[in-house]
Amino acid sequence: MRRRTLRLLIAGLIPATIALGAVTGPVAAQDPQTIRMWTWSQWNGVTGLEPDGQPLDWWRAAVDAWAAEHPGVTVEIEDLNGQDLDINAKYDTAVAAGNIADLIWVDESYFSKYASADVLAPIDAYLTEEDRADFLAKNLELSAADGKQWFWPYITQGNHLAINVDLFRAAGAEDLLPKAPDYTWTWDEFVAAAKAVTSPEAFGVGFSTDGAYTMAEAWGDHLYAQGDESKVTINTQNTVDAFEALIGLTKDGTAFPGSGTGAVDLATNFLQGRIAMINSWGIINDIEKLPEGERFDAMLVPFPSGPNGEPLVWGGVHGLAVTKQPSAEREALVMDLAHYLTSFEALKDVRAWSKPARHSIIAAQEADESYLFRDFLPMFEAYTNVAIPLMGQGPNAVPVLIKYEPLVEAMFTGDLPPAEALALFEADANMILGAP
Amino acid sequence: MTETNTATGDRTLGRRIWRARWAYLFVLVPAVLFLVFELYPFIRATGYSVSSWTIRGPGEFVGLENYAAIFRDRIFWKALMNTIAYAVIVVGGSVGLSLVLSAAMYPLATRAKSFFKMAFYLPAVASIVVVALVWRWMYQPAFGLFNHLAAIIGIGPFGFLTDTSQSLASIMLMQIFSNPTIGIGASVILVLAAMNSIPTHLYEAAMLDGAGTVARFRRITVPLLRPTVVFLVIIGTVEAFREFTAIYLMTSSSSGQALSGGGPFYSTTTLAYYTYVQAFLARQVGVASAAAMVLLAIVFVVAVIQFRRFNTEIEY
Repeated sequence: MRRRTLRLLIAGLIPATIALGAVTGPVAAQDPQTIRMWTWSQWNGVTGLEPDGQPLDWWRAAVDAWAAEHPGVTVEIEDLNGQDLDINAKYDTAVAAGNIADLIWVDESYFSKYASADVLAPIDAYLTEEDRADFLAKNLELSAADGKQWFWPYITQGNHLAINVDLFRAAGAEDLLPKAPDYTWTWDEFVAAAKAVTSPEAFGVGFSTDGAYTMAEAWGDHLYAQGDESKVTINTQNTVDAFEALIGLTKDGTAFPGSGTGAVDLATNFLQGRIAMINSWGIINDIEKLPEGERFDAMLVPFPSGPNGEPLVWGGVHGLAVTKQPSAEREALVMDLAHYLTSFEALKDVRAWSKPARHSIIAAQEADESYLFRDFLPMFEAYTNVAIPLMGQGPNAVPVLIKYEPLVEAMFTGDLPPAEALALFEADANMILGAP
Repeated sequence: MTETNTATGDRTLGRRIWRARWAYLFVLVPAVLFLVFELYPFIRATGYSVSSWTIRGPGEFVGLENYAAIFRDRIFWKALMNTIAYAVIVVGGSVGLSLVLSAAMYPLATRAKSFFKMAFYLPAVASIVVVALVWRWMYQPAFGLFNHLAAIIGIGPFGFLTDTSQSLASIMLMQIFSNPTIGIGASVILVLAAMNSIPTHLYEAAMLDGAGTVARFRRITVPLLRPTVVFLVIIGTVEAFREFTAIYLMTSSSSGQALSGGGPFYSTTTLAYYTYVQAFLARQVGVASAAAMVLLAIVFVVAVIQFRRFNTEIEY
């Protein structure tokens, strides 16, 4: 009898569980006065200068300012605070479960996946002529697909070279560094500088896997041909030469050991003065946080051009996208919030290293003589001008890149020669892309 | 008559349930949690493993195509071999080392024993995130602690996590010493507790028969520790097959963009990591579910074999 009781209990609970899953799957209609926002804090505090600033301070202050003009509307903010891929995983799960937020953080590399799946609403109807003139042209270009704009640019990203100028000064090699206004240099100039600064205490350069293949693209060939993501085009002798040159730097002791692999820790060693140059998506705020006496002068410059290439940066733009809304009124409301959060009005007082997406905000920061990062703005504008969306923007961008990175690592660990690794990658990638 | 019997039966059943209501209530909570968070996802994942996948959820039924896809994928086989090597070495190393350490600690005075137990268990108390990042830093090929020590004794430098031939071994070593579940910290505590429960008269009798220290350990301690060792091996194997966190933390790029966790060049990709990559990076949720099913089957078979092979009743 006890067994029978247990069986009855389980038999009742299984359908109850499945039913529970069914009712919690697609979420019921949202309260029209509550907007859910998933975002990613880029600095602490409201302006970035507050010593006790917290990650969501700016977002809360900006939302409060907007909500004051929209009584009765509640905005729920969630800080994603993670890497792009973790964010993607969260979004994929939310889309499948039918409970994606109204306003979501996106970047140029993955927004099109959600746009093509009919998850996002285009912003064109809400983008004014003033906005179009004020956003950096590169940002509008990178946030568009199929002739439509899909998100509101918020910050401009770039995987560039960060340089510890103090190390070059100490080595008497400061004049080897690239100069204003474009801060570009050639591969040979870069290698000469890296070797000049290398010593028993510091390595000339360090690069992660993504740094390695971004530098290789400055030799002239790219993962995809311009605007065509139907097949990869990186398997060339030019790129083989680029990777061999980079591997040469690891072999002769100029590059930090482990460069080209994912596990290498560049940022900490750079901040401790043990590497003179690293590839980075942003380290200026970390330099400013160093104790007095450990801080150093820095430069942000594009990767050096190879014999057949141009200087470049792996560029990107992050911003806010509005997901499909149940009514036009609600879409207009959420768009208005997104518009405000990416506006000059909301961002004009920020004094962190915020990498603005609007000319007007850059101008405001340039005009402020007390702005801590004022000297970096010309470098920021210079590297943004040569930025490319290296990994592509199509729906297969990430699946292709996850085939590329391990093979790039294999070149640097000595498991595969560059020519063989690139051939393997081409075959794998083109299979994903359905190319012949 | 039948109706009367059924009614009586129902009343009896109702009374039985009511009488044991507290027991059922206590069982109900974990049962519901199990059904919602274990059984239901398992049922759904089984369905996904035979479906195509779109961003909005499962698509068409594709039969065993997802299973065929993983068996064709060379990375899956690499991940499987890595996982087996990881499980065998981490579990074997952790259990073996904890037996030796426990035997060495057993005769010590209570204070000394407590000190060593605390010392071995301390890393297990810390968050795996903190532990993994500290080990990652110690493994840095330049300026890392381990290469500094290696240089003092005139060997190295080693690539550790940046070298395909050393990366998995480096993570195994970290896990043996620091994993909160399957590392030596937890194992030593359990083995020592089991040793304390072995009747001392068995040792005294053996000593009278002339058995030395090694013979007593081999003939008395090890056989009587079998239930504890079986428990450690089974739990450890299940945990080892599910390993993801340390791999993710120790091998992913800190630059914020790279996708090269589980490397370099797949050298630390385990089945669990492979499943994550398929689900969230390659967006092949059907394939990922198939990989998860294969992982589940392997763990189940290994656990059953271990249980049947090693589990015997012990009577003192």
